[in-house]
Amino acid sequence: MADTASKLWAIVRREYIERVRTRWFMISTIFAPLLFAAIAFLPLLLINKDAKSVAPRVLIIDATQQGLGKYVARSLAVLRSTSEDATTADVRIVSPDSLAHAREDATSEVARRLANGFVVLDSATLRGDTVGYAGRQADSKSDRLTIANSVRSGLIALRLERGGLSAPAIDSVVSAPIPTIQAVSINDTGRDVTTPAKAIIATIVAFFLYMSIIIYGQNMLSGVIEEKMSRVSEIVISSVKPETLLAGKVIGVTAVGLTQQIVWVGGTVLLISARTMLFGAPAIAKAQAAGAAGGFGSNDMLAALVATPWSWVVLVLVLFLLGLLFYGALYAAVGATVGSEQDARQAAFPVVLLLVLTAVLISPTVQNPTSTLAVTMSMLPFSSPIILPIRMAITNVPTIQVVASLAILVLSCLGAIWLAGRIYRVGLLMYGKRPTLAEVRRWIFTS
Amino acid sequence: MTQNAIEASHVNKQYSGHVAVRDLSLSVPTGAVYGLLGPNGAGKTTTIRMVLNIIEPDSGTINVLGAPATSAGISDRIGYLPEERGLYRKMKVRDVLKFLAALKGVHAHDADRRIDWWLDKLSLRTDERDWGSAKIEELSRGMQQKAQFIGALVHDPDLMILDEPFSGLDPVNAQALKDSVMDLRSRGKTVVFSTHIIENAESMCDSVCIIAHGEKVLDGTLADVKTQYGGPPVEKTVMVQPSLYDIFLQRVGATGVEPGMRGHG
Repeated sequence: MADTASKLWAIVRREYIERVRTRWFMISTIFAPLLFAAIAFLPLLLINKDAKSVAPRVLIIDATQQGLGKYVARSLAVLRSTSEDATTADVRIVSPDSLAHAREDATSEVARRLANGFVVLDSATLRGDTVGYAGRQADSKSDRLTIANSVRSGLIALRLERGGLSAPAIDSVVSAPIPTIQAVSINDTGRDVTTPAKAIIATIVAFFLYMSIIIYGQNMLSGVIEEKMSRVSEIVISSVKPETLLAGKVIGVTAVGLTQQIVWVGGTVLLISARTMLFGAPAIAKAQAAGAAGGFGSNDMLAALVATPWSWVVLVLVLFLLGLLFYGALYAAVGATVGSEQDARQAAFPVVLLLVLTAVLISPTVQNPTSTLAVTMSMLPFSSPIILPIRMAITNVPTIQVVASLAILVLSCLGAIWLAGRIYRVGLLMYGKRPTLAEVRRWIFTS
Repeated sequence: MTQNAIEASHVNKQYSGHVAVRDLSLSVPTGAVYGLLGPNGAGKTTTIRMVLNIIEPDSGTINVLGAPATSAGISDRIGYLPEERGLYRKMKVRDVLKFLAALKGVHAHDADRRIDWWLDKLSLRTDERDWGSAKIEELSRGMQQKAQFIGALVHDPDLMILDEPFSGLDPVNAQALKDSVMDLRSRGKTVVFSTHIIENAESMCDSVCIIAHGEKVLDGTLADVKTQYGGPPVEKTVMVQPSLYDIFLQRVGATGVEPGMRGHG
């Protein structure tokens, strides 16, 4: 006599193997880590690309006859220290008479992509009035700001020179480093430790959780309907209790979802740790330097991904597992009440609504993870598997809230499975018209 | 074994709005082929589901193979072929059969051996093609039914319950199924099948029970039923040509046709 456990195992195994074998599972499982890696590696790829192309040059046409050009070039190099070797400034000292000619030459060089742009320093520049700039990205605000700043530094240096300061002293003034800003934002509750990278990662993870739950839920729904319509379920429940079939299906589908999540996490970790091998250490160092100097970039994503604590990853997986159990049971219950895929779409609407409501709250939670709404939604079982990970990623959630949320979710899972079991038992053998709500209530609460 | 394979006593089952089975009592002798006959909607399927413990009767008792139908382990000794058929379309035949065997507690290596034996016997594995490794959806309707039949008896059950087993089968496949049923009987197994095609019942059954509107009309051995309800035998002399059914079986090369067997699928 085989006991219930070995039969349950047979059902779980079938659900698992048949789903994992599908092409859809293979593709989606490989796709996600690649996407994550692509986001994280984008700056590395771009830097590699830059390194291959011709170094962007800026021409400095100095018609001041006072040597402003060399100071501007020096200052420009400091301001662009992040890509120092990539930007070389070529200073051309010209007389005011030949300025027009020098301009024409420079324009033609930019047109032929021999240089990126040119700066014109003249008597108006010396007075601090205007400086000419022409180039391929002449309307770039950051480029304009960099040039204005370097001209200003150049003018300061020139005035210090006139004041009799020694050349090394002037150089130390001009090449004073630009510090990295460590910004801390403050919100209603005080110090906000959210970084944009963390928020983006939390949003992407929440989105993946949402998609996974909805996909595996629908998958469960169509699986139950297929079994019911083909009457396979009737054969199965002549061997095992309907509750055992339900449990086997829910566990099997959950295991498939969990496998995929683990591969996603593992694949992402693997790709990130292989980044040195893929891109080489210099490119990574450059990207980090660029990230440090240039404020937020997708390089921060890489840093944030690397810094993601394992405890958070494990909690996300646990929440995902419970979420799938919860929604899997609900979807299975819906599947048992309907007789066709068309009916299923209507009948599943309340369940989908719960998921969509949760998805709508992802963005408000990211923006304000400590709001009453976010706290409430991280407690309710239908939204906590998606909302709680976001809150935990970007703010410090009190342990009591995490424990309460998990406890509520576990109890709700048991409730959902019990409820689904009651519906399943009767619904599987009901063919034909869809039952009314009153009938479903009777299935649940009588004998 | 002298006890009855199935012993139902005063069984009632009511669904919201209508009575499906009313005060039904019946006894299925062990080792017999038993026909559960009745028009569509008579309560045959409900009765079968109660015997299988898929649904519970509102009142009355049902014993199966010497124990209450609700006992643990009884279901492992029963094989069931439901009226409307289907299997997991995307799965391979052998995988489905192994799954069904596992649900009856058959170990994997044991299942493999039995599945091969049945695939050979029902011509689903020939020198040209092993349909066992094909997906269910690649099989013809008849082959799917054969595969499902294998699924119902791969665990070598003591009691086999077939709900309208011949519906939708062509004569060749129907004959193969009939042969298998007779084979089971010769090995001492009990077979219960429901049908509304009375000819099938007459040619195969040792005992029958006729139900209509959820109530038993009559039951007993075929001979008793005929004697009790059929009146005295009438002698007729008829000259007959071979029936189209006989010609069909001869021409398409079905095997194992029992002399004198009549009927259609």
